Amino acid sequence: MLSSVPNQSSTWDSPRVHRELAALTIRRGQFRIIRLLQRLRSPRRLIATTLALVFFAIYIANGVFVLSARTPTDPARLQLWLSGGMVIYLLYHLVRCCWTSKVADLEMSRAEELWLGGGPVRRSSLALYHVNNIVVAAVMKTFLLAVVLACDVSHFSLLLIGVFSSLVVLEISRLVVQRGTAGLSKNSRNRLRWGVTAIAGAVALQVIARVLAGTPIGSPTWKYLISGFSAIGDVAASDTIQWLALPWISSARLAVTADMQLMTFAQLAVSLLMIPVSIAALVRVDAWSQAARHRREQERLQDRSFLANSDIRNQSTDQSFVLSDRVIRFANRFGSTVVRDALHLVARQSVSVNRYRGTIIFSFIVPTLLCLSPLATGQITEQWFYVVGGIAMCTMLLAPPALRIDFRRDLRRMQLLRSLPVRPLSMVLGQLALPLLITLAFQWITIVIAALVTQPGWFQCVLWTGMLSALAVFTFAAENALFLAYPHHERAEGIGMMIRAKLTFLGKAAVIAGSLGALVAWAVICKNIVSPSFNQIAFVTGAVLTTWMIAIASVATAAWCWRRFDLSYDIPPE
Amino acid sequence: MMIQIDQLTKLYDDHLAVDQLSFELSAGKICGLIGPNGAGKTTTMRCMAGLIPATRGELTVAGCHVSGDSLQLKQRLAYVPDDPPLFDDLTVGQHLEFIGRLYNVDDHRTKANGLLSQFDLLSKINAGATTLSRGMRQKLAICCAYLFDPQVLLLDEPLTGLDPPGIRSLLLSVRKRADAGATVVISSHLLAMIDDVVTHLLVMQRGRLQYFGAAADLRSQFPHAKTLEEAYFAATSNESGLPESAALDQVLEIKNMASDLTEPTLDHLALPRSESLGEASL
Repeated sequence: MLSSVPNQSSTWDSPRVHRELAALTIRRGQFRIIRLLQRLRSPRRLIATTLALVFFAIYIANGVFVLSARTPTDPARLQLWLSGGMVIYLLYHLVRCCWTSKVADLEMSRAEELWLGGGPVRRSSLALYHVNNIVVAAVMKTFLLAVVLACDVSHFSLLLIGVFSSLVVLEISRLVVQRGTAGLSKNSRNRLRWGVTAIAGAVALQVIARVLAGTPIGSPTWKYLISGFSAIGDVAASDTIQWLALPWISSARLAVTADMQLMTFAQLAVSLLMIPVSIAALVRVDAWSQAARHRREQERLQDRSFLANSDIRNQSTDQSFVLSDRVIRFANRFGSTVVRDALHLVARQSVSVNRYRGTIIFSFIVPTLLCLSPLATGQITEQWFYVVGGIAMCTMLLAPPALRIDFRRDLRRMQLLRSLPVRPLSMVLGQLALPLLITLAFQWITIVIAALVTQPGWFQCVLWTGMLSALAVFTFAAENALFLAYPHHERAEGIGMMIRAKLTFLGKAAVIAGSLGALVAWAVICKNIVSPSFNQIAFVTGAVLTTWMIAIASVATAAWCWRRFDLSYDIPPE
Repeated sequence: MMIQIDQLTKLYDDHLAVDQLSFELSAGKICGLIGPNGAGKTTTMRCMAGLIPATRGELTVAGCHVSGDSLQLKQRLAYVPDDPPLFDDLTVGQHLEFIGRLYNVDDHRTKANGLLSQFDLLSKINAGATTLSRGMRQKLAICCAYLFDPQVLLLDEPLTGLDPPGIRSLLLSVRKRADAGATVVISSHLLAMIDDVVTHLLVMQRGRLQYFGAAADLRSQFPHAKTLEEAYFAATSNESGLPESAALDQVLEIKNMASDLTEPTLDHLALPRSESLGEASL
């Protein structure tokens, strides 16, 4: 029945096991491709298909005809981004892991945990299997990046290999960081948390210092923004970051190779070798993490410390139910069923917000400081608009990923949500209420501080508070409507997700640009048509009303998408 | 001894799920693992399967010490959880193909077809896992478990979701595998269903062992108990200090209430206590 017993003392499985896991990856990939092609042809996905094809065509055409004709930038900068930039991203990821209490186990699905974790497969092979799944996404990202960067380098093929190797090593390093932090004790994690936060703060201060040093005093704020990108590049080029970027140096230099030399072949070899080396590091760190967690579990059992913690946890759970009951009793005073039903859902969301409050607060502190940073340049008129612009950008780009506590985290619970006796509008209001309130709190705090410093006048305050609030409602409603129309799992990867992310970004940029244009046009109309004593009131009223009408329409769209959601068809495979 | 568990203890964060559990089971025995919800049954099974590490205790299953990367154990043991997760992007046939190849099973395709036929899944061989009903997913997971003829079978609520022919087929196959030397642990709340197949019982409550031994001996401990269900209630009620007669009175009251309802019983599915078994008729 079984041909051989594997060598227990070895860390690695036989090639046969790896072949089977590779075959599994291929088979699952084939299914997804067939499914993708079927869905592309489905009438339910007509809009998504059209947008994806148009995007792809524009992206390739832009790369071939427009970007190839631009003036090539200094390859040395690209090299610094491919090396130092990776370290800065890893630092951000390390800070995130330290502040997250959730422990991820090689990001396996339930089926993988059972059939692979429970099968005769070593942990090292599971790690390698997970890396294989990353490779496909890395290939797509490499292709998309290479189209943009092709004119900056002499050898396109070396660019492909260098970028691919950098991305794969980065992704594996991210897993190493994740597994490493998962194995830390509570005290060690706390110390590391503050340590890396201090380092990240130091990096941020360096960037700010370089911006201030590199921009003449009194320059317009847009110059500070341009300097910001340059400053991040300079920090990435610093000795400390470059030393930390050793794993990426070879692939970064390979990507920007001007002339083929003997060194090029050495860099090629090292670039490709870094992938198995980082996999080996992942296997080691994973084994250490598991052993460390088990050791601490045994210690907790030995000293019975879990008994005291169990009592404390039970008390805190009771507290959240008391709060929810108060919210519901307050809501029952309203006659409207829509509001009452929505508040039941809000009570459920409040438990999650309470649990993740640290992460949420952290996610908004940095954007708040960034939005307020233009106030430091001393140019009063412009600063208000840059603060407002910063709030708008953060609302559209940063708030949705930071506050995934709406429909986007409930894909596995759609059947449960569907079974609830709640109207679609109540469901949408209930799911979006708390993320919106948190975003509005961020907006209003930033506006208040900026208004106190710049004193822009009440028209500006009312105008932007009203419009930015509507923008928040529109953003979350649109994100959820899009999710309900084209749902995806939390950690989904692949070409579909990449196109989705790019299209969403482009869509948001178009909305901001379009809104600004419309606002300017409305201001002109008000100035020309309405009498001078009323044109400010008309302008503010019209602008706020219009944006709120669009926001309300987006909420109605989200409710329609929820009504349309089909449990039997729309939920993608995991 | 095929299963030797000594002082198994499992701590999750601040919850002691299993507390100093000890028992032994020899080859060819079928043990019913029963207890109230949250008793620690699934945790016990997952520890035995090596899916999660025990916090403390010595576990030896199928001659292998259960620890870390127990590859030999996983080749000799099959664990089928409650509501087994499947690969959404594989078909029924591809699941069995993958398991057959991973476990290096000789002639796995012929065996797979036989198992699919036995569990009435042959017509679904090319169906995607997402198109299967709950019971079909259960059957597929059982087929995958049977494919490599494990020496130890751990089945967590295997009867949930199965149709009556499926239940009969499963219980008959369990009896047949035990007769061939496999050791089976079945966790189930459907006590009447497993009453006829189990040779031993392991009763757990709040992470602790309430009773382990031959099924017949449990009933002899509670002479008033006429069925496994009554003995179970008596065994688990005793922890609260109720006298056995009071616990059984509660059971009888429930049964009297139940007998007022005209629900059909499942007595026709009770298996004969015969030593030799023919093929299950579906």
